[in-house]
Amino acid sequence: MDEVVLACEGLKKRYGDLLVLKGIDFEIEKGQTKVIIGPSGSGKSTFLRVIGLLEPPTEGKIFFEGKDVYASNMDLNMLRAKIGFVFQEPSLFRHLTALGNVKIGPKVVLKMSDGEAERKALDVLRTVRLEEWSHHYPAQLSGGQQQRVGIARALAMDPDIILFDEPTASLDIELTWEVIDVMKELAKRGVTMLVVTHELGFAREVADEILFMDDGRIIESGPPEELLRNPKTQRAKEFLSRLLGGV
Amino acid sequence: MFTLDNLLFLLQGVPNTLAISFLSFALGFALGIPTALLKQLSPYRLGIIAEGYEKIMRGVPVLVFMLLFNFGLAGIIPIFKSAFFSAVFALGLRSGAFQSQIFRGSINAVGRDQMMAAISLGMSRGQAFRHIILPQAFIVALPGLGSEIALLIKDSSYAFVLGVLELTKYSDIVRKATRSFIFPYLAAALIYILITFPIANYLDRWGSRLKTRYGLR
Repeated sequence: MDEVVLACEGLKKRYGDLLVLKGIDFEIEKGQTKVIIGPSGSGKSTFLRVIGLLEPPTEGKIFFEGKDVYASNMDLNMLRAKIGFVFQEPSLFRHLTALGNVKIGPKVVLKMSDGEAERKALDVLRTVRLEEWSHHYPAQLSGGQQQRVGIARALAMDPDIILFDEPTASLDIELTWEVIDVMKELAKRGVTMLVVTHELGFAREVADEILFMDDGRIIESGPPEELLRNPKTQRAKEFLSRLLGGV
Repeated sequence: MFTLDNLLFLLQGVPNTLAISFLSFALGFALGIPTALLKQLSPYRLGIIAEGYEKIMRGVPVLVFMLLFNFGLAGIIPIFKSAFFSAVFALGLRSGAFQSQIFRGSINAVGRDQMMAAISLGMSRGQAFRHIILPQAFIVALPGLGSEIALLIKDSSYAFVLGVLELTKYSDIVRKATRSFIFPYLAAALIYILITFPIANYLDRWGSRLKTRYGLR
């Protein structure tokens, strides 16, 4: 049996009077890439933050490698270290160079020595093809480069899964490609990935499954070809025709 | 007549003025950061202590504290027998409240996304503050800290009332000795400007240089 890395049951999230997640069941196995699409306001980012343990759920359970993460004996910080997160805005640490950004997690959280953390950081910066930019500050990097540093920062922790929250949504089209290329490469290497994105080319090429979210629920899911070509629900149909038709 | 000798005599007050200002700034720094963190990090009840401290320091003149320490509390707390240290503690306590507000403002300016990114790596809130938030907040705080130092240098003149031999006291001594009623004070005013301006200006420029480099707002 394949190993389930991250899963949830009956996940709900409420902000004040607003129920943003209305009960989500989900699981992702080791080595899989799953893509979430859906209209804005459908709860995609909230879902990612909650299942990424950055915000507690209002109701429901989250399981990391089979264990209930909100059980009292779990160390949330250590779990978060195993779940990589790439944000829509790169959110790099602005006072640190690219190398410093990637190094700090292994050093502070995984307690690596400086030399060890630096080797690890240079290694993952090579993976995202930025080793020559390692001594630049975020303000000196393009949006695409910043986002790749963000990916390297997550990779340096050797996470069991990486969550991507619309990593290219704030990038120009040419910069989008350089980020998407890196993500494709990771997917092909077998990194477990859960990605919110509207880059359907990416989804078609590497996703094992696409999930369509609307109004706080996953209302349809399936292999890319099937879901993109023959969406079963009316809402997915409308959303996809708008996404593909009009720019 | 006010002479060059008088001016040189006056300058003897500068070391004490600087000592009071910088010691009280250091005390204020040591109090300000924990106070800011207490309000930012701790559950509600401890935050109230920080808030109360800030309110009191904002509402009571610093001179009243100096007098209270030096004349009122000297019998209970030995260090307040010293007029110098009474001044340092009064100014330092107030500076702690002011610096706490400066740090709190700059911590907020650093932004929630930085905390979120640090947490996502598995850092505890304490680690995130130490490695990510505070280094950036400190840069944002530099201009505010410059103004605070300037304020302390000027307000160190209150120590004159306790008889501390600082710049203002010296100018008053010269006034009495020379019966020149204008120049000793004008000379003191000029010296205050010459001390405060470069310090505040330097911190301001250092701050904006770092802000540009790091792309901080």
